[in-house]
Amino acid sequence: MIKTQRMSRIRITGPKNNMKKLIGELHSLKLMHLIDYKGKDFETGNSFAEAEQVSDKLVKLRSMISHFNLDLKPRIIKDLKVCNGKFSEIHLKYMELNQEISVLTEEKSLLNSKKQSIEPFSSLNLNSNHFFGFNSITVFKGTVKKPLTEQEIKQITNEFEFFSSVYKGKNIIALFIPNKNKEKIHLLLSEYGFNELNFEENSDLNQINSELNSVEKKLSSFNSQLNSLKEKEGQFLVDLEYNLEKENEKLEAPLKFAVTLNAFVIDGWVPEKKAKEIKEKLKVLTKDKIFFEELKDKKNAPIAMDNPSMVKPFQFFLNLYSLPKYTELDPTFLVFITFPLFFGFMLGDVGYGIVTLLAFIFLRGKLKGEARLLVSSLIVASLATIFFGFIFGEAFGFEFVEHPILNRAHDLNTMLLISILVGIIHITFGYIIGFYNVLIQHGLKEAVLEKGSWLMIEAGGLLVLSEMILGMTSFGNIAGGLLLFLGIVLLFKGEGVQGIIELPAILSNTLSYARLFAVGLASVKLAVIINEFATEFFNQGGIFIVASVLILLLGHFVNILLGLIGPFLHSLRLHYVEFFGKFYKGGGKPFLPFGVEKN
Amino acid sequence: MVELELGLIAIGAGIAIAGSAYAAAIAEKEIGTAAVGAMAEKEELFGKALILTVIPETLVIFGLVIAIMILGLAPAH
Repeated sequence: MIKTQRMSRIRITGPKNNMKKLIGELHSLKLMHLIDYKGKDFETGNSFAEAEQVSDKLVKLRSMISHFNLDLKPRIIKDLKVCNGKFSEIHLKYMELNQEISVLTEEKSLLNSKKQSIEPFSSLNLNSNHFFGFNSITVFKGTVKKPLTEQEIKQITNEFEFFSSVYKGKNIIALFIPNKNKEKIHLLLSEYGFNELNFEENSDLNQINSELNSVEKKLSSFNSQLNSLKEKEGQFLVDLEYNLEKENEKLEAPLKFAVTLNAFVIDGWVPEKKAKEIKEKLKVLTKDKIFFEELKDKKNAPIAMDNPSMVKPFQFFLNLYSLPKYTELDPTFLVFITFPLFFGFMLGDVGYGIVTLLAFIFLRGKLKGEARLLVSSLIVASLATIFFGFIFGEAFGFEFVEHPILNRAHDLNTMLLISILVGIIHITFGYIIGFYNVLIQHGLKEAVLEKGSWLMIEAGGLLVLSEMILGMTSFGNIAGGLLLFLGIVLLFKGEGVQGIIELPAILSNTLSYARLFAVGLASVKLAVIINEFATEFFNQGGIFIVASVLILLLGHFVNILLGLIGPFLHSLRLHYVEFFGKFYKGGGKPFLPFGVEKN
Repeated sequence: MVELELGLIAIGAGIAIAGSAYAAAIAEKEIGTAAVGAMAEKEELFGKALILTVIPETLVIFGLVIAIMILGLAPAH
């Protein structure tokens, strides 16, 4: 629980004819984290011959799945060979349908653009043949930005035929003039923002419309065929993709192995507890034809956190930050204890706690993965909120107990003192864990210099401070001062000037815990203001009662949202910055056993 | 005269909060911008970006502590 799962590095050597069997078994065991072979003495293996075929199929499958936008739960297929025929059939049909659809779509867009250029002229009562077949006459047909009148044209020539109308808010014109006036008219029209519309001779709007209609009918029939293919075979496609992916993993596994002409070496990590079991299983499977080594080396072991189910959700906070190193303690359990306490201390309201608890229990059923972990951890935090709500005697900002154990809106100094004390304890704890971590990694001397020095500085500072406040004897001053001095000397030896520069941080870190009560104070003040506001309205009676209820609902809703974000972030920050900063390095790589799905 | 004293004390406490909050806001603005930029490149940085962004919040807490200490100077009534 406090340590991450202990790992063993194992190396399996065997003849190549056993390789496939072994890969299959490792894949179904889901216990071994494979290490890529990076050495130079041997070659890395090649994937099995079928791999190419399988990955080709996977590419096709994935493009179909993403096209169909399938979001189904995959099921296990026992016999993949049976699926081959069915898959090629479906894929062929899919390709045919797609081909048809793309041809028809192109046709449709062509027809549409034709339609768009000829349709406006239907409002002029001219058909397409009227525009063609002239030798000495030039035709201008199209749209102009501002209306053109015959008067303007008459200034250039009297020989013309002019049609104009408005179609869908655009000015449509058709102008027939002798060729000789072509340039002048062109200039005139360009002033009016003329835009030519082109179409072919003999294009008939009715015919285009009927063609468009038939294309659309065909298109919708193909689309519905494609849709029924999706409905009918979607599940199969998803299943096949899932199973082929697993198959592919197995086929490509040798890429991680070192091989010789006739033998292979598999290198990887397994949980220490399981090493023996795996060894037995593999030996039985290969009739004792493999050589199984357990190495002493623990460097770079992957990280699998090992926590009881109550604590597990809090692994979220470590995933978010950085996984612990193999030699570090896993602080999840500590976060499990202090995170809800801090959160509850800040929000501390029975009413808010119950609302958030119900909301998170509802949400938990809807989510999976990381988000589910987060919500589960917040459920614990909500319970703590209710607990502190009783201590503070608050529900929705109302003080439902006359003399609560602690009145946080009034006993500011007590609250501040508690916060700082919690901070001192938390930070001290951080240094103690840090001491242990350094002790394990680098030995006693380093631990005393790096972390012990801080502990001394902290203790010495506290002694001096308490003497200053209580002021009874000078013993504390002398002992504290000595301790402080010794601590600083050791720190300087351990961390150099950098350590000295960091000295004031211990004060700011401790004071930082004042947020524990500050955030809560803001939240409770806001709640009180909402309540007072609502009461004011309520006393006016009549319609104001409705307004008062609305204020209560909306106000507390907003305050709960703020009350979730604030305490969450601040509690997280206290852990990440003030607490983890004392001992946590992180940077571990996750344990991803062969055969486990990545998402 | 007591009224004026109380008022000045309240203003002093207000300045302590306002100043520190403003300072924290400026600092967080700068860090937040950079953090979001870094996260756009590498999403796993969220945890670290969050920490860096909230570090200046301590400034407001200091302001609050000072404000409460100033309010402690107020004569009891």
